[in-house]
Amino acid sequence: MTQNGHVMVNTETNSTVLFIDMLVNNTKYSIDIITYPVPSTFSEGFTSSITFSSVAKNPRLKLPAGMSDIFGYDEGFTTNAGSEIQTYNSTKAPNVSPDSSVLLVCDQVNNEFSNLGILYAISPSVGICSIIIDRPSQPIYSKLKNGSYNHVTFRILSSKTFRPIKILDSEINFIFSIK
Amino acid sequence: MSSIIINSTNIIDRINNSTLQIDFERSVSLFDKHIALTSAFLYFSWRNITSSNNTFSYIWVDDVEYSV
Repeated sequence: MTQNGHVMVNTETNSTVLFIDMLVNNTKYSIDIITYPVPSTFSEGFTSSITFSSVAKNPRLKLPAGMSDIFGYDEGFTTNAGSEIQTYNSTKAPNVSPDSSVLLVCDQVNNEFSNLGILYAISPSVGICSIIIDRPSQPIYSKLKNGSYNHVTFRILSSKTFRPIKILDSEINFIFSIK
Repeated sequence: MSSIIINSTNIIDRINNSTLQIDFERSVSLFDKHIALTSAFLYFSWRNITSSNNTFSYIWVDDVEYSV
């Protein structure tokens, strides 16, 4: 909005006034969106490059798929136009970490309940860029497909899309036991 | 019981770094065998924001939509 000149600046304090706010609301487990009406005329003590409309009007925020999940709103959510302060709460749990867990899959695992041979789910309990160390308290054995193989393949998949996830740091180490 | 270790040298998908394969020198029978993860070490290095979730927009009072 600043780049587009859609702000007002207080000439006394030099503070910038924005017309859309997004705030974390811990109490409501929500990312609140607040839109404010853009006045139809200059307010005293402010400067702006805004071309004012004839009536006060709120800008409308649109959240497409993907971004709407992060903020906790339905796909395509759009705030209303209006001429008064409007507040919106997330309608579902915001998910700022879309891949909050990843699946470890083995192509040679035989799982009659799933086409994917899911071995384990890894949930990072550390901060981004930190090392995840996961040692299951006891091994959870999955049956392998009967046959002879010259290789075994493992994949790390997004738990949301079931597609391979892009891992930036290739320093990976897994130990498996076969019995 | 046998153990196998796979690490960065076993990565076969260098774009995503998420497919790993261990090759055996000769064919191995996995008849009636079971596999379990014993331990995992990897960095929390996948992005939460990608090209599929990095934009939104707003419609300004002049009814023009602007991407952010």
